[in-house]
Formats: sequence, C-alpha cells, structure tokens
Amino acid sequence: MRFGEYGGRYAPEILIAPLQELAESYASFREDSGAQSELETLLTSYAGRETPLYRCRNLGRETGVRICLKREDLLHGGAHKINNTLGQALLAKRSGKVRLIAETGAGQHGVATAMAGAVLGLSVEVFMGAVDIGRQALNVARMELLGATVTPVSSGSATLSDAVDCALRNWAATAENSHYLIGSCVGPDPFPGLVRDFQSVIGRELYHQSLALEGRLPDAVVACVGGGSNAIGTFVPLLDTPVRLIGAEAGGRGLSPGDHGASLSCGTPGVLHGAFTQVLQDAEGMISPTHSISAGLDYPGVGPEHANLRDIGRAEYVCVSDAEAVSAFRLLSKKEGIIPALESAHAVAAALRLAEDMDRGSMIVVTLSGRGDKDLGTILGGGA
Amino acid sequence: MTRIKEVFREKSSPLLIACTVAGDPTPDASLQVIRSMIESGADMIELIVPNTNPVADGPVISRAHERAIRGGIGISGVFSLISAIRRESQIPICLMTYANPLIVRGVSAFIANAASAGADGILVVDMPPEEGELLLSQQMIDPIFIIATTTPPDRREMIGKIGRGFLYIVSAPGVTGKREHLPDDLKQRVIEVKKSTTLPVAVGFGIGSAQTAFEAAAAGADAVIAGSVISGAIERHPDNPDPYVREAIRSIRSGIDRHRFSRSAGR
Repeated sequence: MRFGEYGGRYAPEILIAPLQELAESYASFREDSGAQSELETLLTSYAGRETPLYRCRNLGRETGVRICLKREDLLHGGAHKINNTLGQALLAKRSGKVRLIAETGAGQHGVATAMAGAVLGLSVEVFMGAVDIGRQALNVARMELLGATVTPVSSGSATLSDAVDCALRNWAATAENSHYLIGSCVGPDPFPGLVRDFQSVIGRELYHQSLALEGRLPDAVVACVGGGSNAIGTFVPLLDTPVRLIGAEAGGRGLSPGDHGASLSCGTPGVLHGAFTQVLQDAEGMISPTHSISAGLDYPGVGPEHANLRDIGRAEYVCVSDAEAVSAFRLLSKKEGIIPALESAHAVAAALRLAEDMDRGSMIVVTLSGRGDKDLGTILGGGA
Repeated sequence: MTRIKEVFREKSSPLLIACTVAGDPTPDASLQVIRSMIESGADMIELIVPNTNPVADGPVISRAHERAIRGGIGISGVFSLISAIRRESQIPICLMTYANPLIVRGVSAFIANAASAGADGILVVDMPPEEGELLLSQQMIDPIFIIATTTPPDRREMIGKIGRGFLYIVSAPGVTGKREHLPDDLKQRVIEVKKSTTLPVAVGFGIGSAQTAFEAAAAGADAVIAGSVISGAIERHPDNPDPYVREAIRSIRSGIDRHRFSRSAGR
C-alpha cells in the first residue's frame, strides 16, 4: 500500500514473506468480529478507553480560543502507545505467534509492549539503545518488572534508529514464531497502515466527543509528530472534515543538521526502515544524527502517510523548539494541573502559537499523547 | 558476454565471492584489501556500499559500515574505488547496497555511474523486485536478487526468472555473520532453487571458515560468498589487514577445494 508516492515495502527478501503474511492476517483480523470485540474489551477495561476530551479552564484563556485536550495521557501506561500494542499483540496472538519484538526510544513503547505481552501471555524482547537505557532507567526497570527482556543496542548512535535496525534484524531470524510490534506508523508496508488503524480510535472518539460535548467540530487539531502515530490516529478520522490538521515536529536546538528531528520541515525524500518517506539525511543518502529534548520525537524519519498529507496540502507541519516545548510543559502543569509528556508539550506549544492567530471563539483540540512523569529528570536537570 | 557470465563459465565451480565494505577502514586501505582478496584467490568481488542503517547485516559487517563512513569514502568514492580496481583487474565486481543511496541519487543515475565505473552486478538488499522496476528495466548491469529461507516457492520461481548474473541464496535465517555449521536443509534448498532458474546460485551468510565453505560447496553452490570473516580481519588488524585478509580467503578457498577434491576422488 502506498500513500501517494510514499510508503512501499523496502525490506530485505527474508522479511518479504513475513510482511506478506502479516498483511494477510491483518486483513482477516479486521473482518473478524470476535477479534474486534476482544480488542474493544481490552481497550475499555484494560487500557481505560474512552479517554476524556477536556476543555481547558485556564490555558489560552487570554486568547479567547477554546483549547481542549484529548487525554491519551490517562491511558494505562501513561501514553497512547497502548492502543497500538494491544492491537498488534492481539493480532500476533491470533496469528499463532508466541513472542513479541519491539524497539523503544524513551521506553514508552517498550513498556506498552511489555504490558500487552504480559496480559496476552506472549514473551517480549525490547531493543533499546544503550544511551537511552542510561537516560531511562525507570522505564527499563518497569519493562523488566512486566516480564520483558531489555536488550541493549550499542551500534551507531545507540538510540532509537539503531534499536529499530536491531529489532528488524532479530525479526529476520525469528519471524516464524515472533511478531515485530513496531511502535509508530513507520516501517515497511503493512506497518504504517496497521498502526494508523489501531491509533485511529483517538480521532474517532475526538470526533464524537467534540460534537457531543462542544456541539461542533474543532477548527484545528494539533498533535506531535516523531514517527507520527498519535498524530495519524488523530488526523485520519477527520480527513473528510474541514478541520485543520497540524503536526508539531521537534525543532530541537535549531534547524541546522543534527540539531532537530523535523523530518517533514527539513527532510528530503528517501528510504528509511522500509518505507519511502521524508528523511533527515545528507546529499548521498546517509541518515543524519538528530536531536530533540523529547526522546519520542528524536527520529530521522516520519510515517509515510504524513509525508503524503503534507504534499497534498491536507495537513500542516510546524517546528517547535526544545525551549518552547519546555515552557509549554511548565505552563500546562501550572495552569491545568496536568504534566504532559515532553513530546505532547510540543503539540501544546504549537496550539498556543496557533491560538494567537485565531479568531476569538475558535476551538482547538490538542492530542495529549502522554503524561510527563518520565520527563521530570530532563526538566529538573535543566537539560535541553 | 558479461564478466559475471564469463567467470562462471571459465572457472571450475564453486567460485569464491569475497565481500568487503568499500572504504573499510579507509579508501586507500580498502583498495589494498581488494588487491589482497584477488591475489589470494577470490573469483569475484562483492563491494558493499557503506550505509548508516545496515538492517540486514550482523554486528561485524555493521561495524565495518561504521568504519568506512568514518573513513570518509562517500558514494562517489565507492565509484572511484571500482574504477581503481578496474584499472588493474578484469575480476567481476558486484555492488551490494541498501536502497537509499540509489533513491537519493536516482536509481538510473546510480546504476549508470556504477556501470561506467566498471561494476557488473548490483544487489540492492532492501529493494525486492516489486520495488525494483528501474533496476530490472535497465540493461547496463545485472540485478542480483536474494532467495531467503522464508521465500515461498512461487516467489522463488518469479525471482529465478527475472534475476540476472546469479542468484544469492541466504544459507540460514537472520543476518550476515559467521556460524559454526550451515543448516542441514541447505542442500535441499539449493536443489529447489536450481530447479527454478537457469542462473548460477551463490550461497552466502554464515560462511567464515573452511568448514562452512566446504558445507556450502557440498550443498551444490556454484559460488560461495564470504564477508564477515574479511570485515572481522580488518576490524582486528586495522593497521595491517592484508596478511589476515589473505589468510581468511585462503582458508575459505581450502574448504571449497576440499569439496572439489573429494568430489573428483569419488568419481
């Protein structure tokens, strides 16, 4: 499946048959009402859906713009990641797999995979960059407590992108009994579409809740974009509406190469981790180092569907710097009593900027993809 | 006749295909490594284009990618290296690369550059035939494709028909890297692949010793591919890799020859 010219299945031959098998088992999973209702039960009673749409009492009040938060931070595990991991883990189990492989950056997806593996009785191995393991000791402990094995990756820059490489390598050797539970809407077909579908519950709920609670659809929705799974899940159910779709990318320390993770704002077309998409790379196709204060946005590529939405003009993507994200992080904590993940703080910052230019009485929904407990070390350490 | 076709016709099989990452550890040292490979008995060179995300490679070759990138070769440097080998030797050269450098330069432009530098074949690890229209439609160099342990029979037939030069059979599931023994089912897989193609078949992944080279030859391979063992020699002796590269090639060669000898003795 392609999204315009983006996407595709740029994978080594050894993964082609497993990817084909996955595409086929996912097609039947979608049609299987038993599977769908089991997933719904898990999402409701285990993960804590539906999540509230909360109208901010104080944030953005001076602009006269109504800012609402889609509270994915209230999900089990503290982030939207569980929507995808429960979906894929159930798909894996129903396809006869006994083991899950995952990559993780900050550890959020690793934790969400470990939870899904534990509840569904699948063994879990999480690949994590050695640098990230050092930065995220608490999440490592969490994953281990949940029964997962955390395998350090020390190749390359020893961060997320290298962890994806390792997970793909491991899957190449174990695809017969293992499912690669990719954490974002990236990777070779069918992963981007599959992750999009599992995350679309965000946008579907948001749509109905906006109508029910606010009596209207928002003028704009804003979500942060690393790989872009919470954003694609927010956007896709709204594609046929007039709602503006805005993605907030990591502007990092500035827009020089190596200082940010803004693949749509600064990237060029290329293949990364199995998909043709927008990539941060040099003129010869070597992937550039990236930086973001939030580990979840520190990635040199982006989901291929976002690249297409940008090209066709349906979605807009803006950059938010580390410093802006940190101010939004502090502001939301103070004004609303909600500590957002630093990733989500990028979306909050973009929404505040947007609100300045909007008419009074407009409405913005921000997808608050996760909670910020994990980021206190970064904030208190003053790291940016 | 292409150099690849010719070498399979002229030399007694199985051939030895020696791989190294272009520019590992530096462009100049890499040329010397390739000379050593040729002089110590390689029949074909597989030149790996350095990449920042070598997802199909094991740890040893991944580190070779990192060294080569640090050594500063660049894509144009890879083409210069091919030209430099070509000035000294008519040995067939097959490029092994990931898709992104082709996509960024333009698939057709990349292939034209490779061909004019003197490359004979190109294997794009993460560009399966379905994504490789431009690779297949050009006639400048042979597109080489992989048959993996997971490749189903109908797909094997398809690849056997559209590939050119030779087919690359992956010996065991997973990524590149040395193994003690090759899997028992390899022989059966080689037989099955040969039924679906008229091309020679080369066996790679996991061959790093005389024993595994012998096993690949005994499984019916028309060529045996050795890579990690060479990258490993460079890694251990970055300042003076040549004697160790030669030793590695000779060791692989001895395994192949042991099979040849036992085959002719058995007649």
